[in-house]
Amino acid sequence: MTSETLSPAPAPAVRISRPWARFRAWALEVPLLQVLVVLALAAWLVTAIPAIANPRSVTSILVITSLLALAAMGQTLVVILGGLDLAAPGYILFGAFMAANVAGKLAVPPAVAVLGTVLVCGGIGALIGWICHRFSVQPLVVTLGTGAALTGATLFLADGDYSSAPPQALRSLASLRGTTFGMPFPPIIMIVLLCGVGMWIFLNRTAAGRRFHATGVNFRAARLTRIRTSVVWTLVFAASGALAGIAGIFIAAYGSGWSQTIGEPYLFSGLAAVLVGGTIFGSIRGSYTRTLLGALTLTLLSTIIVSNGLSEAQSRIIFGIIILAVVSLYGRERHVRDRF
Amino acid sequence: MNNQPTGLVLSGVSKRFGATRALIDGDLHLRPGEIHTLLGENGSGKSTLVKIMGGVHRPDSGTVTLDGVPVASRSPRAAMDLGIATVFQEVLTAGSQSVLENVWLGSHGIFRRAMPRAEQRTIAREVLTRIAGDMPLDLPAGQLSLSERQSLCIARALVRKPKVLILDESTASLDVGSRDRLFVEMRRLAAEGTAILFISHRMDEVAEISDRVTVLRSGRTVSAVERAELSIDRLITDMTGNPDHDATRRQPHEPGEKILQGTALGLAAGSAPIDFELRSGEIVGLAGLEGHGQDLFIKRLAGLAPGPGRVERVLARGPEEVSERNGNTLGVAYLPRERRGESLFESMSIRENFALPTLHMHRRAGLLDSASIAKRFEAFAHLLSLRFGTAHDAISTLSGGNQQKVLLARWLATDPQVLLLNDPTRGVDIGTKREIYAILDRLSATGMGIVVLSSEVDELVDLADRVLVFRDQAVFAEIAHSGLSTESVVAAYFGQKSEVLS
Repeated sequence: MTSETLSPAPAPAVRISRPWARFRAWALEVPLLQVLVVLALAAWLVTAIPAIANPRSVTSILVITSLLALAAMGQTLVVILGGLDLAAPGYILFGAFMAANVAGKLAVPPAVAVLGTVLVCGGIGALIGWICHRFSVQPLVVTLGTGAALTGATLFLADGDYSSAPPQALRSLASLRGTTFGMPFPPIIMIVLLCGVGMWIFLNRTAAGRRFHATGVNFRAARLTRIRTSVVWTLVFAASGALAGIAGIFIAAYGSGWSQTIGEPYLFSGLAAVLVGGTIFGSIRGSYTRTLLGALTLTLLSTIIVSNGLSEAQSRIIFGIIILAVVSLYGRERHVRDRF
Repeated sequence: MNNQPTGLVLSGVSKRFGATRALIDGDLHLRPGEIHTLLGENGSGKSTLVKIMGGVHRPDSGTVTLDGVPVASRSPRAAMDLGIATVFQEVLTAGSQSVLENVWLGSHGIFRRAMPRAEQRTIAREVLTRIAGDMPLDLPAGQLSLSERQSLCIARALVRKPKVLILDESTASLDVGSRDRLFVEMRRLAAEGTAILFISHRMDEVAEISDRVTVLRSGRTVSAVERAELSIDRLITDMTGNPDHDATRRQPHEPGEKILQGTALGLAAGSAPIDFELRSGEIVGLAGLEGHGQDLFIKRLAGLAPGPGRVERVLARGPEEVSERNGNTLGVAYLPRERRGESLFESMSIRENFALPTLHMHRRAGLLDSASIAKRFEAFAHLLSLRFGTAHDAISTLSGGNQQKVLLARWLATDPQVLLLNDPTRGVDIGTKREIYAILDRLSATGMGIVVLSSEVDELVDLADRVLVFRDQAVFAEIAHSGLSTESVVAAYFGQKSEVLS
């Protein structure tokens, strides 16, 4: 039988467009609530500390948001797939090491250091994804173990040297005084925005993105729909590794140096950005746009917390409670319950 | 004897699962000292009735009494405490624990004092010797054969000395020797006053052991037959209800050339290999009681399950083996059985669900061409007279029947020559069922070869050119269009072939 016999292509019956249904679909598709939360927090911040409304502070908030968003980019993909990548601190640490010790101290060209980071972190991620798929193991366990091993290996390679700094070429990318094609903000903001556009196109307008979403929503059905789920898993975890490694380079560049624990805060706040943005485990609704909004929400929130004189410890308590609240909110959805 | 009915009495029992009425009016009187057989084809309500007796389900209405006392078992354990022991079809043993521990599994609670070990051993040995011959009590159960493990499960019920013993297809995995020993033991227990409910898919066993037979059909008890009046023809007629299919049966088209062939397909170790041929324009039905290999067979045809033998797509350029991956290029499509678990992406839209296996056909400059997807979807939606709000709505907003149509459209869009459907009308309303039959008829007229696995006999009789009936992981009978009737299929379910050949 050919498609012609099945495709008479008649004039489709005119369907009644339902404005309300369309609006509802749109409201679910577009993270309206998240945008409102960001606006409310921004308004609160400006009211509380009017002095903050100057270009310097705004740039600073946006750079911190960008770093967080970059660190959470791979995590977003892994969460959409229905897993968690606990190796993120290891990747970030390795990226920071490459930026500070390899590109900085050993004066290896920055491009080579970036490439090395992508290859190592991406390779490890690919291996994790393949193992998890092949042997049906929880990514939680595999990423935790691999992350610890990578952290240890990086510290071993660093051999106690945490005083090197990334070269100027890298530092200018994330420096608050940096400019992008003459515009008064550092390139990292533009890079993250471009990443956001790229991710949106990938998730919404490509066959690969559609298959990736489908694998997250229903793994068994995806296999039976002839999606190569092993390739999806391998590539997603590879991407998560490579992106977290790159985030590590930028984080070290922004801080002009690194430490043994540079990656740790980003695991929790990165995951928080994903969840607060509204990406649910294994869901069609997940998107990187949401993570960007989540990162902005968290940065604004922590600025408010710090400006109110609360300590780092207290702000962590508040973040923890927010995560619990958000997760229990989504947990009501049947789909999420089924996974755990 | 007083006026109270003794034994287990179920009257007017009904049970509903969502929209499905599994049991509408179930009546059963299980008297002490009798071996009573419960018969019925797939979906007759047999399992539901057994699960109600065993305390797994609670009936929506109707009464269950044991020796005149209402039974309200909330769990299998509570039923067990009342003296109702059920042995299920699945062989459930803890492989790493010893035979002795398996026999007494679940019988000592945390606060209940356990029986002395020596006594446990004596009782277990006694029971096992009677039904399984000599079985070492300290061997881990995992080292036993399937038949021995099945005997172990039966022993687990027997050591509790139940008043009511329910054997739900528990002879399916027994070897002949153990089965004969079990039958002797069943007669002995019945003589001691135990009420035994027996379920089996082997008509010879039913004829051999039953004192009485109750027949269920579509959730209702249709007859209770005494041993003296027992005849296999009568039981089969009762099970099928003698429906008239003359008006609804599809007339087969002239089959074309061979398009799919299976060679020496083995479904289980030791079962007879199956050779299979599908011709273009044919609709072949696969039938059998649940778990007799038909499900694995259709998965083998789709290249989804490994095993002995090979499945090849016969093309002009020569035969090519079917695998999990190459269905699209070979023109083989498989619609899985479990809609929610194996087919649907519930949070995705109708159109997204439709387009997933055909995304590669709708690419422009590396991006998805949504206009072309929409056009193709419209064409198929019209062809299958799909009813929906907008194509952007989540597929979960559709009824089961319409969801199934979207999934059928999904696979038809891949341009298959061979269409493999695993129970396609499960949970689909009768109107949509008829529409799907008409669509399948039209598709076969265009030369598509279709294999339909169905748990509904009526469906196969209406639809198929020929039907393969599976029994014990092998093809038991192949019924041609001329011999096809609900009676012939159901007879083959229960191992009766003469009917078929006549």
